[in-house]
Amino acid sequence: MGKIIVTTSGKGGVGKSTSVANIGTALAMLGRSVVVVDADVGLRNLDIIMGLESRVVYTSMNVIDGECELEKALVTDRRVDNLKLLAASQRNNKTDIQPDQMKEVCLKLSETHDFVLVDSPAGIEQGFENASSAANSALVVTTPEVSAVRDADRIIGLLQSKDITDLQLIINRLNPELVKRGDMLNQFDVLDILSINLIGIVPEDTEIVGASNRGLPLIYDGTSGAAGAYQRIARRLDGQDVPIPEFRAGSWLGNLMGKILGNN
Amino acid sequence: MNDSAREIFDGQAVQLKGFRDGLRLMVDGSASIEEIESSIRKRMSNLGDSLAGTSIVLDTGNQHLSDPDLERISKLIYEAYGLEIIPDPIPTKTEQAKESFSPERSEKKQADAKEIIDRPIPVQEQVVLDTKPSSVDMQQHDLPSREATCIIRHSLRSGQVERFFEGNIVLFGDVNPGAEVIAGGDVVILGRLRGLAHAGALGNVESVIVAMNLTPTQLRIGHLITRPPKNNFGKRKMQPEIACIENGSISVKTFDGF
Repeated sequence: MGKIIVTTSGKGGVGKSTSVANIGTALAMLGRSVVVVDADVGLRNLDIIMGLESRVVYTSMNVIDGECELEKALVTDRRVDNLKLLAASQRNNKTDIQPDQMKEVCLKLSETHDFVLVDSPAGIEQGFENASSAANSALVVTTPEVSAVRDADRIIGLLQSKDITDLQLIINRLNPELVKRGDMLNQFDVLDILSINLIGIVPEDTEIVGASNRGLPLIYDGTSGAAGAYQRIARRLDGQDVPIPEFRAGSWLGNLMGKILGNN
Repeated sequence: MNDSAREIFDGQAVQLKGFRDGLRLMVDGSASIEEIESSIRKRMSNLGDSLAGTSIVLDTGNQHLSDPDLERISKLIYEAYGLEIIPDPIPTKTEQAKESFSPERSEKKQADAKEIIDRPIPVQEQVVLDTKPSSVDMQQHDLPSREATCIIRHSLRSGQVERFFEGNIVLFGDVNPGAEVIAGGDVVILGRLRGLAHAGALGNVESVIVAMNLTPTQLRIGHLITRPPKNNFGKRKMQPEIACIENGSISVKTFDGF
């Protein structure tokens, strides 16, 4: 029986799908069998970010409607072993799927895979209900912004009321320079409010945008700041003890940025 | 209705009171329906929407209002203030009402009320606590220490609300931004108050708000609302503070005992 992990944030645009794509790929690279499930019915993105858009034939909607076997609906990622995607239907909307139906699909997937990573849509409505219906743990993604933290706090409250108590926090897009200038919350400000376990900090990385557009998760090119952070998060999810490095302005990342901008 | 009974109502056709089993709108059945309606409006206008979603018992004492009148009141309360009228859970209502509206009883209530007001510690005068109009002895309930208190042993996250109109709220934990604590009496937060707190939500201006770290989004006591100065951001030190009404406005100061 594998782990079913919902990735959620409340607020949109904080990097849920990017996190799912990268962590899912990283876990597969570690030798685990992984399915990533796009629960954002009507606004699917995960297949694009993973570069699998053109290979989607069936969606979770077809499985739920009994039009196709679950195994057949999974798109296999050919770049790494044991990584599959269950896409969301773009034609339907969130209320066309009920939490119980989604739960059944996820539970079935967890019988044959080590990790089922569910990418929740933004919001706290039915899409979130569907995505979290089967989860036994959750990755809460936030950026170091007051509004994102506020929404993450709301989501954590909702997850806890569903008895999902294994909650891990990802602080995404931390910019050490902005933190140093006092323009961005630091990790302690965020943890002070959210008070759940921190599983990783992903530094802001300009490479992410291009990687998403090309459909090639950054993790395949494992040198940049964000890719390294996602790798460490995957190893922690896999039960390894990996310390969280401190992201400081003036660190290698800051220096690199400085060199690029030519003002070092 | 006789004069002394009218005194309980303080010249108003309705009174809003909090009891352990919920809120009660006491209606002076001898008043005209217009008088009752305007009195409800007056009473509710102070409270804003802080009561929305809660239920309330309509208590007409030993007076009987006609069905159309009852319906008219229920409709007003539901539509304008979001309160739901529920049936009176106390079965022998008429008799108890008779008892509590009898002249001797009323005088005693008056005397008790006065005694309570004389005490230095914040007390409930509008919110009559623990005095479910049953066989309870009034005498044993006039001490502030006997006020009903709701104890919450967890933090409140954004979107979570705790309401307790019947008395005080003591919360072990933090109240995060976006969370709300609303009490008929005092609010005590043994942690950080970063969300919204409303003490004396039924109008008791003697109520106070105490927190180990007071950096709220908004504070409300009785009918007053205040927001903290902007430079509150990042105040992390645990320093107990108390908010109370002084000279007609909410003031916050270091808490070092009463």
